[in-house]
Amino acid sequence: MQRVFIKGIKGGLGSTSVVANLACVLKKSDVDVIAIDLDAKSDLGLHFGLPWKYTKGWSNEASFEDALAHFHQDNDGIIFLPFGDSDDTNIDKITKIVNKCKNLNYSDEAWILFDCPSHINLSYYPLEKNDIVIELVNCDAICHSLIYRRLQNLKNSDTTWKHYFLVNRYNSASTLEFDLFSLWQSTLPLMAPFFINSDEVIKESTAYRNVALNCAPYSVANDDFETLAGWLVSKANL
Amino acid sequence: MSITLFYQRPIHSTLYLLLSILFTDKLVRYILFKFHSYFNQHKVNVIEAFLMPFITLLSSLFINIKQHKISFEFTLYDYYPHLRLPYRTYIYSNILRFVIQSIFLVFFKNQLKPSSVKEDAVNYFYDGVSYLLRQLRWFDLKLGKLLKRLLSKNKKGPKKSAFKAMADARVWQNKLVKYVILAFILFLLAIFITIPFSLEAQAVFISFILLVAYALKRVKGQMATIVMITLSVTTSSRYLWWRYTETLNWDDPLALALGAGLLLAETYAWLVLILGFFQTVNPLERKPVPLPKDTDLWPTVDVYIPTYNEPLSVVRPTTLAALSIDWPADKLNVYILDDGKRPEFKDFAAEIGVGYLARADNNHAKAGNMNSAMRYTDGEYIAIFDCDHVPARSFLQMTMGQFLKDSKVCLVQTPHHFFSADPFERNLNNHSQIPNENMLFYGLIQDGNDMWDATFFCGSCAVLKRAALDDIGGFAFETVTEDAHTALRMQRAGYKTAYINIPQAAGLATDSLSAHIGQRIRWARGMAQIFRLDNPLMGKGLSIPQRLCYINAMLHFLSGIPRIVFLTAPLALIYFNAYIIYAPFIAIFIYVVPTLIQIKATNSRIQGKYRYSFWGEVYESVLAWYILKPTTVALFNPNKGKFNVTEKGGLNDEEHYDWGISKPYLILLLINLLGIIVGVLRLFLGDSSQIGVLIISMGWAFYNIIILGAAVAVAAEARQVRHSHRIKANFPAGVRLANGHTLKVKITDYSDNGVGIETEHAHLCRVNDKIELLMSRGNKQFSFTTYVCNTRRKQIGLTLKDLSLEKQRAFIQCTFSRADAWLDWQNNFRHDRPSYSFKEVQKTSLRGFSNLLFHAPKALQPIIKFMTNTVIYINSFTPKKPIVHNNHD
Repeated sequence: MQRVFIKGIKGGLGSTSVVANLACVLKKSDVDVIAIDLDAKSDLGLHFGLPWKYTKGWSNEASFEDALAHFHQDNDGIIFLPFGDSDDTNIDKITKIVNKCKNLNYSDEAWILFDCPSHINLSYYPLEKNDIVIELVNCDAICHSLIYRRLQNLKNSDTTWKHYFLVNRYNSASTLEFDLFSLWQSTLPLMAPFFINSDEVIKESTAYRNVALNCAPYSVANDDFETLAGWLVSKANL
Repeated sequence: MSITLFYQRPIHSTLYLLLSILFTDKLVRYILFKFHSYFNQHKVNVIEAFLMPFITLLSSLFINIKQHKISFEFTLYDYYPHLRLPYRTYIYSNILRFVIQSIFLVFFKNQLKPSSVKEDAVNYFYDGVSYLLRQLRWFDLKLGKLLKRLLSKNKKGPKKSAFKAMADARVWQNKLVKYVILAFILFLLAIFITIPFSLEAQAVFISFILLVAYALKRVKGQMATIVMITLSVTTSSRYLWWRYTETLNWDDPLALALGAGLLLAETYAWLVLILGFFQTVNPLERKPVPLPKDTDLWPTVDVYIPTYNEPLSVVRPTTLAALSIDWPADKLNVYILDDGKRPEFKDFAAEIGVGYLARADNNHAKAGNMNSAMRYTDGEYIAIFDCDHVPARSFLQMTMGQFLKDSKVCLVQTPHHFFSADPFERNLNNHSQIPNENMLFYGLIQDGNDMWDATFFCGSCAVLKRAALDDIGGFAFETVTEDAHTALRMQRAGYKTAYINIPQAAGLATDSLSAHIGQRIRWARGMAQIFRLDNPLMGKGLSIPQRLCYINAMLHFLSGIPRIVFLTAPLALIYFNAYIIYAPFIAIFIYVVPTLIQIKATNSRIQGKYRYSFWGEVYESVLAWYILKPTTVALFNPNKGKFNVTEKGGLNDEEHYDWGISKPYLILLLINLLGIIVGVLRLFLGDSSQIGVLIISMGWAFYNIIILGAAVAVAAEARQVRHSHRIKANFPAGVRLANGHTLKVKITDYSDNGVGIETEHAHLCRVNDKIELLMSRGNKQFSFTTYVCNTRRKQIGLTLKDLSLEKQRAFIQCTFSRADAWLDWQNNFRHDRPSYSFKEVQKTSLRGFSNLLFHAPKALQPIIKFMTNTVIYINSFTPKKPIVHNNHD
C-alpha cells in the first residue's frame, strides 16, 4: 500500500484538484485508489460527484469503524472518504484516521491519497519511510520564499519520507513563472522535474461535478497528470 | 372535336383529321405530341419534326424501342466514344468518324469474340505461355531460396569456423605467400579478361554470368555483393579488352578518330566504375563514441559561421542554434566570420553574445576568412557551419568522441542535409520521393571513403582539430575548394579523418538550377585545381587506397567530356556512317547489352538506397556541358578563376523556363531527334546489311533522348513562393487557447516563422486568433505567442510574430536544433528497382518535352498550338476501343 500526502505549501494552490485528478489517472491504469479528505473544508467529494447537500464524513463519527459507513465510490471506481462537517477536529483525530487507514483491508498495490490541509505542519503527521509527500507550489515569489523556508525546516528535522515539490498551474507564457521554474529546476533539490499546466478545464470540470481527466481527455493537463502518475509509480515502493 | 376548336387552330385540326383517317386515335395523339415536342422544345424544323414520329413508329415495327430507348444513346457512345464532346457538334467530320469506327468495329471488334477454332488455339497458346512463366517464376524462387540457404550456411554454419581458421592461419602473414596468391588471382583475372572467345563462347560465358548475377538478386549480404562486383569487374574489363583489341576500324580514319573518342570515354567510365567499386565495397558506418562523464575532460570548441553576402535572416537561426549546442558553456565559443563587414551583423552578434570577426581584406575567400579567424580564437577544436546550416543540439556529442578516442583524428565530418528541395527536386517535383544528387555521396561514398581513411572535408557540418590545422599552415587557400584540399593536406601530414553518417545539421539547398550548376562548376574547378597543384597520386604521406579515393572524386568531376561523347556517339553511325564500334551487329549485341545489364544490376545493388538507376545519367547530363569548360581550363591553368559564393535563400516569383541554361541540352536533343529521323529514313532507303547496327544506334539515340528530355525538364523553374521553407516534423506539443483551455497537438511542420499543428479533436480556432504554443525542451516548457493563419478540419497553421531574440532562440531550440530533427532522412527511401526507376525517368522526360512546348517563345506559340491541335484532330479520326462496362447490371 502506497501512501501519498498532497498538500499545498499555502492555501488555494489547487491541491484538492490535483488529488482528484491523480486518483482518477491512477484508477484508469487499473490500480485501486482510496482518497481521504483531511481538510476541514471537505470539498474533495465534490470533485467525485458527491452532492453538495451531503455533508457528513469521518469527522462526524467517533470511531473509524463508524466512519466506514461514509466511504463512497465514484463512477470511475475511486473510493473516497469525505471529511464531514464536525467542528471539533484536531490534529490527534487526523493522525488517528491516517493510522487507521493502514488497517483498511485492501490490496497491497492500492494507493491511498491524502488531501492534507495546508495549515497543518507536516511533522504532525505519522509519516513513514515509504510515504511520499508532495507539496504543491505555484511559480510566484511567495512560494519561492516558502520553499526556502520549508527547505530550512526539512534540513533541520530528520525527515525519513520522500518529500517533493510540484509546480501547479504553470503558465510558461509568464516571464516570472518561466524564470522561477528554470531557477528552481537548476538550483533547488526535491523539485519534481515537471509541472502541471494551468488549464481552464480544471476549473470547468468542477462545474460538471467531475475531474478534468474525464471532461477534457485532449487537454495538456491530462498529459501532465499522466506524467505525475508515472513519476509517482517510479518513486513508489510497491 | 368541336367546331369552336376548329376555328381556333385550323391547321392543327385539319392535320388531326387527316391523320385520323390513317391511324388510330392513340397514335394520332402520339404523333402530334411528338411533333410539338420536337418542334417547340428541341427546335427541330417543321418537316423533320413531322417526320420523326413516323420514323420512330416505323422502326418500332422491327425493334422493341421501349426496351432499348434508354440504353440506345449510351450504347452508341460506348461503341463510338469519340462522337461525344468536343466533337459532338462537328456533324460532317463525324460522318467520317462514324464510318471509320464502324469499319473498325465490323472487321476487328468481332474477331475478339471467342468463337473460332483459331481463337481457341490462341487462347491455349497464351495460357501455355503464362503457365510456363509461372513455372519459371516458381523455379526462380526455389533457386533463389536454395542459393540463399547455401550461402548463409557457408556464412553461419560450422564452415565459418573453418573459414575463420583459414583466414587467421599463420600462412597469410608470410609475405611471399601473400604475393604469390595475389599474383595468381591477378593472373586468373587477366586470363578471364584477355582470352579471346568465339561469339558463341562469349554468349555462353556472359549468359552464365548473368544467370549467376540474377540468382544472387534475392541473396542479401556483403558476400553476394562482392560476388556481383567481381562479376561486373570481369565482364566490364573483358568488354574493354574486346573493344581495344577487336573493334577499332583502322582503315577508316574518321571512324577511327570517332571510335577512339568513344573508347576513351568508355575507358574513363570503366575506370570510374572500378574505382567506385573499390571505394564503396565495404562502407565503414562508423558509430559515435561516447564522451567521458567528467565534462572537465571535454575540450574547448570554437564554432565558426563564415558568411559573405547572405541575409541576416539566414544567418540568425544558424547562430542561435549554434549557441544551443549541448556543450559546457565556458568551452563553447561561437563566432560569426563576416566577410561582408555588415554593421547589422555586428549588432546582432553583440546582442546575443557571440563573437564577431571581420577582416580588412577579403583575400582567399572562405579559407582566408577562417584562417584570419584562427588568429583571434584559441579553441582546441573548430566546428564549421555554412551560415545556412542549422546544427542540432547533439552535434558535438556525436562527433567529439572520435577525437578523444584517437588523438590522430583531425576531422570529423557529418552529412550535409538539406531541408529545402534542390532545383532537381523542386523542378521535377519529386522531393523526398527519389534520392537527391547529394545522397549518394553522403549516404554511401563518404562511408566508403571512411573505410579507407579518406573521408573528405566538405566545408561545413564538420569539426577540425586546431593543432592539425596549425600543422599544415591553416586552411588551404590555393584552390576554390578549400575544404577537400585542407583534408588532403592533413591526411598527407599523417592525420586521420572520420565520417559519421548521422545528419546533425540541415541547410538550404541551392534555389535555382543556375546557382546549383554554378556551385558544381566551383567544385569541379576546385577538384581540377587540386589535381594540378597537389596531385593526390603523387607526393608523400598518402596510402594507396586514399590516393584511389581522391582520384575517383576528381575523375567524377571530369565527367563532362565523356558524358557528351556518350550523348552523341550513336549519331556517328547514323550521320557519317562511321563504324565507331567496328564489329558485326551480333557481336556488339552480345558484348554491350549483357555487360550494361550486369553493371546496372550491380550498381543498383550497391547504391540502391542512395541513388536510383538512370538518375545518375540525368544529373550528369545536366552538369556535363557546364563543368566541361572550367575543369579543362583549370587542368591547363590551375590558378585562373575565383571563388564564387553559392546563392541561397532566394525566391522564384513565377514559373519560368531557363532557356539559357538548357541551350546545350536542347542542341543535343535536337541532333539526337534528327538522328532518329535520319536513321528511320536510312532503314528504309539504305543498305539492308546495316539494319542491325542502325537499330542499335537508334536505340541508343532514343535512350539519349529520354535522358536529355529529363535534363530539359529540370530547366523549367518551378515557383518558390515561401520565404522560409517548411520542414516536415512529427512531435507532440500543446497550445493554450485564449480562453485558457489547453489542447494536445502534434507539430506537423515548421519553419522559422510558422508552425503547422494537428489536433485529434475539434477545435474552435479561427483565423487571427491569438494562441499560445507550448513546446518542451528537456524539462523546460517554452511558450510562444502565435496567430492562427489558416485552419482546416484538424490542421491549424500558426504564424509567429515579433518574437524577441530570446524567444527566437528558444524556438530554434525546440525545432531546428532538436537532436532527432533530421534522423529519418535516409530511411524514407526504399531500395531501387531499375525498371520502376526507368519508368520515372521516362515520365520526367515526357514532362520535359511538354515543358518545352508549353514554355516555347511567344513567336513559336501559334505554330505549336496549331501543330498540337492538328495532331489531336487527326487523332480524333482513328478508331477507338469501345468502352466496356464491367458491371453492366
